[in-house]
Amino acid sequence: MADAKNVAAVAAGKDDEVLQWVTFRLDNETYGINVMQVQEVLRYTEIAPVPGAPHYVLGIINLRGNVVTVIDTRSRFGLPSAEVDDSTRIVIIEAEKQVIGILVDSVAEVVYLRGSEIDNAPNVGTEESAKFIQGVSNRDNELLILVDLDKLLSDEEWMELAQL
Amino acid sequence: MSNSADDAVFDYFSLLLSEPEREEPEQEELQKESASSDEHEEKHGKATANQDGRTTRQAPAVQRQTQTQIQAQQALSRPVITQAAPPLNKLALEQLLAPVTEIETETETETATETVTKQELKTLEQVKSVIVEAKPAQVEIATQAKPLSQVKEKIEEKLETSASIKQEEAVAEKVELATTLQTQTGATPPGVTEQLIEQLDEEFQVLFFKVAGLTLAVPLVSLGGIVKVERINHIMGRPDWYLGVQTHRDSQLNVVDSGAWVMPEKYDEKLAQSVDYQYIVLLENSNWGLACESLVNSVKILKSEVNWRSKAGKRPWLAGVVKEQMCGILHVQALIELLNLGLGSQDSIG
Repeated sequence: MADAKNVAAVAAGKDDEVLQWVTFRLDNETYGINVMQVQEVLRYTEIAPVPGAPHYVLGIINLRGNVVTVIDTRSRFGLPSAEVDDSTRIVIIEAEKQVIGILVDSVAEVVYLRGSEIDNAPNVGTEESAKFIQGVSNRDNELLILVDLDKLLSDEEWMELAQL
Repeated sequence: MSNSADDAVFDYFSLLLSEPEREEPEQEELQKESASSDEHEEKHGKATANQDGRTTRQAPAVQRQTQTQIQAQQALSRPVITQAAPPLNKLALEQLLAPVTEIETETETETATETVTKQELKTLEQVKSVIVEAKPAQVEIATQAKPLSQVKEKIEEKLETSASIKQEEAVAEKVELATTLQTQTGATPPGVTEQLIEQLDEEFQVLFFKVAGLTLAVPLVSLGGIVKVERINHIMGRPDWYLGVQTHRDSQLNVVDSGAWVMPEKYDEKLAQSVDYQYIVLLENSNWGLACESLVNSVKILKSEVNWRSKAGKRPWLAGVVKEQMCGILHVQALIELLNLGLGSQDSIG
């Protein structure tokens, strides 16, 4: 009986796994991305535009000798563009076996979230951007929108990006 | 909001109230034809036209029949005419709510009149067939009766009585049908809102709230609560009417931009900017809430004070119109269903 309880507790514990999320801000909303996908956070640096690049690509940067494509996160999220300021950051992430940069308004902190603390996002969206919301979580009366970076771009777009 | 917005709202609901009374053009034409055929009919036509400046749902086929039939038909058409509509400024209405009017005439008015006229015409056809049956018999008998005048008289007598019995039967059937049809146009609670009506007491409380100049009512039994707008988080990739998420009691409330949802055709950038949402009206125990600018009041009304909608049509979320306040009363369950499906106000369920 006790064994059964322990097994159940372990199973529940596994389901209620604690994950770390790097939070960033975009247009007054806070978003979270899985810390395991974040490589580093850079201050804003000159982004060189790439002629003929897709509309969601801002350009490229040179990261210690490596060329990294930077995505226009605001346009991807359907938000209006904003001026670059002191808090603007480029978050270098790894998704779909590619290293890319995403431009954000600011990076806030790393938070710990249990699986049970994550709610499903309202399922009313039909747009492409509705797909990359993994869930939402309420922390200190602030809503954290969790982003699935793998779905930030479609399969075709990831392929297109690889060939850039 | 401004007076013009109030006028628009008034017109909007005037339209909703008057929808079932519209008539198909074919009927109007046929009625015109019939009007010239009989003096008595003319009188009746005037009387009906004077009532609200519109023509009535009289079936033209019967008007061409004998005077007895016309009288019977007048009796039939009366109950249908009885619903007086508030005076409408049609031009202003069309200008303000052109897309809505179009949709309404295409769907609800059409279906309402269609069902009424189709059924009415069916019985009229029956009446007609009775008469058609009777007429050749009369002719036949008349020809045969020339040499046999005595027989003719007897047969004519018989025919008259049998024809009148048939007519009476048909008329009685039609009167019955006309009574049923009257209920379909909103005099008694219709099928679509049946569930809601059953749920409500004869006298029930409603909360009136305002959104961009539009007043809406929600029955208190369907009200989940009222929350003050604090921090609504915008979530990307959602429809325009989806305002965002607000945390409420450790759960997320989906907040609807009520103006954008209820009247998307009027809700332009300018109007959207002028709207200042203060409260969220929660829908039953769902996680949906309608953003509103102000709460007007909560009053007790009678079921009979609401013009309940008979057809779900394009707006299943609208249970009816509160006559006195001239505002829409929400069918919260249908509304939740629509919102869960991510549908707009002019979409129909299923």
